Amino acid sequence: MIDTSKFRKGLKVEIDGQPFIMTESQFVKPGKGQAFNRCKFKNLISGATLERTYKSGESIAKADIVDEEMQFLYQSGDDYVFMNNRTYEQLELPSDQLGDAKNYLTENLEVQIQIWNGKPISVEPPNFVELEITQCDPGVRGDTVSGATKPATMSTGHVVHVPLFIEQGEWLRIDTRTGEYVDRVKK
Amino acid sequence: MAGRYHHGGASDHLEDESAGLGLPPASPRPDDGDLVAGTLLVDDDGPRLSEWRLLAPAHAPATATLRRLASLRPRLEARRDFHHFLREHFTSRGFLELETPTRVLNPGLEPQLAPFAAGVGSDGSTRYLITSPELHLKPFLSAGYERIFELARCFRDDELGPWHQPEFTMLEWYRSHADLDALADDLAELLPLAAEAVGRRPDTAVTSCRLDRGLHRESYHDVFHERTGQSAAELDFDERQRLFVERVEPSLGWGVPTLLLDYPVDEAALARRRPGPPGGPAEVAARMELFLCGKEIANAFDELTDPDEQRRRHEADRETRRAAGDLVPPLDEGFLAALEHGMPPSAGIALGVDRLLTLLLGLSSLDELLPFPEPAGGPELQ
Repeated sequence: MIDTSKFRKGLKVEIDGQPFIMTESQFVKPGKGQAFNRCKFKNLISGATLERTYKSGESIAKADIVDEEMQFLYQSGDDYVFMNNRTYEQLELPSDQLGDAKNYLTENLEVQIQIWNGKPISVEPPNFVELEITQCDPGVRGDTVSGATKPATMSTGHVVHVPLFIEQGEWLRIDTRTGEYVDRVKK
Repeated sequence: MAGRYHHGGASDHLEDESAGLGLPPASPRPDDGDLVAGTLLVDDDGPRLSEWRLLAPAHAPATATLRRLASLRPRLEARRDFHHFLREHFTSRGFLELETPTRVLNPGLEPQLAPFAAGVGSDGSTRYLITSPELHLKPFLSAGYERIFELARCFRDDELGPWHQPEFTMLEWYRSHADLDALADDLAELLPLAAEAVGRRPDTAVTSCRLDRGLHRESYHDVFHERTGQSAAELDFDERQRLFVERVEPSLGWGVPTLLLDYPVDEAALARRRPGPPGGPAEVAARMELFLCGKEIANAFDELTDPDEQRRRHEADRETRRAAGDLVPPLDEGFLAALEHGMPPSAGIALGVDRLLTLLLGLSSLDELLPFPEPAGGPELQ
């Protein structure tokens, strides 16, 4: 159990049988009263947010969560197959459990998978990945209007907006936290 | 002139308090960061140091704290202006500035306050750091002073967060032969001037809260019911406070500052009781708080002057403390004697100076204002 004095942003806890991450904890105290921590949480499975206020001294159960380093092997139908780098065990996850991560999965990509009570609950790709453009309209020579963009579809099906000079077949570095194009990479 | 010598490739310069006067290097060159004194020479080749001598070598690079202190100057200047304004404002309105002890026998007995112990007095009993200067200011009212104020450094343990520091500056002012309305008028006059004192326009001083449009008054009972759907009178102390911090407090003081009036009697502290407003509880505390942008800024009492009632409340607070295993300071007989001698009807208010200034400057927590804040919590977890 974790009491209010140890409340921190980033704490992983279990509330009503669900795993949450604490996204905010603010000490509040009315002028003539009891101290509280006003907290916000994000559900680690559904992403839903929750607000709760705890009296000083109250506590919450710590969630049994471990992060495992895994490698993406291949896709088999609707399932994505990963291998645990530590135990070499394989893990299959259906696409709906991957969230945005499936936009970035290429063979051998190293990801972090969060395991709660033995169950995988989320897949975290690295902050930056490199992907190939498989479809994109040809660039218009001489068009240097700054800020103009066009859509480009990556090998994973993910669509990003890129500057007009970028061509099909090029490789891009993508920020997985925003889903956006960062720069070109030479391959 | 004297200052710190900075290496900067082509733009080595001596930086003094008047900031960053660029100078070509003198030869031999001081080490980066050394404090040097030199003579400024201005001729056709531009300004430069004609000679220099070492005042203090920089043996170590500036720490994060030192860099922070250097960057904090505009906020510290605003703080100086703000404190100066407050003193000037009250002095020019006939208030006498007082300084009362910081280390006392009785730091305030309210069960929710955690005082710091501070050694032993000449009588052998424990001393504490004040949680507010209140108990030493009120005797002045009994002694015939009608308008007094103090800018006091106060101390409260176990209070640490974006808007709480265990050590903070509080302004208290008291008016005898006056009630809460007089203090509400004081606040309405003070707030726009306070904004101007630190270079802010009162109509835009605080995000989403205009200070030049007077104060909005709400009764505790009504606003509690409106925000929570529950009757404050039917909830126990903890549950009522939980809902208050969760739903009520964050909603107060937007648009214009809010004055919250008529608190439940068990939150009276040192306020007198009075009959409740129509449609509310039978009896309420004659207590008022000021909120800006969801933050409590000031707390005012129509002061309890009845010595017997005051003694009973203090004894009850001590009993609560004893039962909770907290420190139990003795009764402050000096304060009680002042009430027994006869304290005129009076109103007093305590205002969080650091909090108000933090809001006026558009900062988001006290540690952005204070040069040496107590760090809140540990590092963020990943």
